[in-house]
Amino acid sequence: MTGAIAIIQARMGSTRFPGKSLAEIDGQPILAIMMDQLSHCRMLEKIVLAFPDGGEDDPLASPFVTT
Amino acid sequence: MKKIAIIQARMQSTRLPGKVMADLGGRPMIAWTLSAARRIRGLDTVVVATSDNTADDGIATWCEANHASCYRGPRDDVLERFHRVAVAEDADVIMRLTADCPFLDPHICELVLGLFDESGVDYASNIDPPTWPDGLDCEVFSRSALQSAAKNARAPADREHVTPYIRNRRNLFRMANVRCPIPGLHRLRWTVDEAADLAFARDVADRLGGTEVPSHLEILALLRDAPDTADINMGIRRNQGAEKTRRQWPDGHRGYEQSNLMLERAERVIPLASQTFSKSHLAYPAGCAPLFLEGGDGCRVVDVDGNEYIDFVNGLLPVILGYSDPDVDGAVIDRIGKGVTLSLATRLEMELAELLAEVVPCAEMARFGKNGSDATAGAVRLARAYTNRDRVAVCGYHGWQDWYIGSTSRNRGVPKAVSELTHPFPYNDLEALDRLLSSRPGEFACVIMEAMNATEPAPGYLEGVRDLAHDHGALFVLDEIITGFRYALGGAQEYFGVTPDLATLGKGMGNGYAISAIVGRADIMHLMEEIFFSFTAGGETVGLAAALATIGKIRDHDVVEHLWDVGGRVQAGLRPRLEAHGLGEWVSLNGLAPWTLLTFKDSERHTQWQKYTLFIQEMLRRGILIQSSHNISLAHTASEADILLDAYDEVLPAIADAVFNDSMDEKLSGAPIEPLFRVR
Repeated sequence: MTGAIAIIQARMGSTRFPGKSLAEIDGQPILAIMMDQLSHCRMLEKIVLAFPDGGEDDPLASPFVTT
Repeated sequence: MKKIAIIQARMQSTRLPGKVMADLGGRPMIAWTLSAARRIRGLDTVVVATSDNTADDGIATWCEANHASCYRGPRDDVLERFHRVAVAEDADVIMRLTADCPFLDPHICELVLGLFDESGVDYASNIDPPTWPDGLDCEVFSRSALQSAAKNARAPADREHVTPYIRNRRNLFRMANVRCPIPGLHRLRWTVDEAADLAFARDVADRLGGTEVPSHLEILALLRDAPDTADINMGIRRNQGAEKTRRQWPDGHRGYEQSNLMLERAERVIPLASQTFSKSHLAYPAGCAPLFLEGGDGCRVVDVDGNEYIDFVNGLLPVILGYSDPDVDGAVIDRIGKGVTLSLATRLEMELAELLAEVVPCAEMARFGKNGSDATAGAVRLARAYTNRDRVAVCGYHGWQDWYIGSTSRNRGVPKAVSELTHPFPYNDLEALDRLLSSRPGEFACVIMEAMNATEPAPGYLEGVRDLAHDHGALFVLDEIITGFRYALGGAQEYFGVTPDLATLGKGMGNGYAISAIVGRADIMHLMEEIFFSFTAGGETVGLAAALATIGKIRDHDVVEHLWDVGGRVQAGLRPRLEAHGLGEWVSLNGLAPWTLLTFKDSERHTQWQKYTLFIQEMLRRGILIQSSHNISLAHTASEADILLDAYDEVLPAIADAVFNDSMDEKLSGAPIEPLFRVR
């Protein structure tokens, strides 16, 4: 038990590339690929997403939130 | 491009027979290594290489049952074994693993392989210098490097341990290393060489539960929760096996061709071809000595021809912990990433001054320089300013600046007016000093001296010097460039119990990184604000960071006690040997154990310099780099002291024969070394 968690910060409102977190590579959203990679890190107890409140970022939550 | 890993394994370990098949959590140890190796991404295959000895049949049988290719080859010539496997597999890149590393971490191996691939080197590893726990060793090298080693390596140690030939020839092979990002892990021991190591590995395996391939971070976390586990095998030294074979065959000598070629090349662009007289060709027998080194590790150095030496010079003494000490280098590397010479002072200056004030008796305040000469020149200027006087009484060696070197025979370029202000006085002779100070009443700013080098101070002598200096209104300055952190943590002043007004420190405080210091009484040191002691690199942080790490390690790891022990072993062993060979009259050993000095004397037919030259020549042939003193570091152990004494057992008879049977001329390969000048 390391007591360590990972917090992935994400938002839809990137000025240079709006919506990039959900842009797809080979059919997978970037954010999902990243979470999959991170899941191989054995020293983490938990991986969570943090995004701004307000409707703009709600799409980020939909594919992942399980609680 | 075919990349393979070769796991070497054998049953006949001298320290722990059968270790690779020993049970570890229900599996033989080799199974752990093999599972980890098979997880390494980027390899085409993993094979096992064992000996063709019947004792290793069990390994071959086990490999077959576990679908691992197993090659058989020479037992002791492991290098040849590797080469044959590489040829049979037609591999371009070879990763060397050993079956006594059950906790091998595939991710670290991938880093080493990645570094090899991306940097285009001939050899990449995570062991040179060692920064990871012992037992995560991974080396990757090209087929051509392996081929070159297999063809050219002659020393049995080079053949048994596969890669030393490559690692010791930086002039031939490009190398890279993956450093561990976590400091201090090199002290951990996860390899299995002895029974205690196996007990440790079994304890870790049990605690890991069913994890088939643990990461090193999981083991670290586990050890944090079980501190007793790590203690099971502490106290076993790293790579003792390699040390043992080295001792059996110290030389495998390759001559000095590269050194001599480089001398010609360097002399075209560098006067003296060196930055220091005592490191130049003038200090060694002409034509038959190494003149350039590639690098050093612990107490061993390798020259440009690939000859390895146990080094008793230690860079002229500053290397007090050993070359590439992981703690000091780690502190330095950490510092380099934050800027080296900044535009304002840094906290390191304050921290180092506080540390010196804590450990050096006379130190109330401190200022820093880079060489010992910075410190002695600053101390003398400070004394002159404090006393409003010009003359200086000196005893010992105090550096290259005008104020001192003008008083020696190597004084060209120093104005006479400066030379005349410096007056040497003889050691252990209070009356002579009194006469000197009385001859120019009111003119001496300070008495500066080495508290001791070869000769011990007579009872009351140092106190007498201090009192005489003070009676004549002069300051008492101890030059502790050498003795500091060596005789005692607080230097000669602590060892002899005599506190000076000022002291200079240097060698020994930075493990070879450039740093020196003036320390002393606050009322005198405050005058630093009035004189000019100020230069660009004074606050350069690499030297300061090195000093903090070096002094901290000397204090916390009983380093001074170690220097006394190992130096004492040399001292106690050498004295009776000198007598036994009838050389007591011509060669004497003086000084204190951490820094004992040899003195050669003229006899009727042979000069001291002929004897000294023969001594150096013969020591070099036996893999010992030495001058006229035994400079001990933390990296020298009783084992190196014994190797040195073994060398003396061969060298002293040669000197005795040269002296008593008049065979000096036939024994000396070149012209004798010429004296630079003598101060001790």
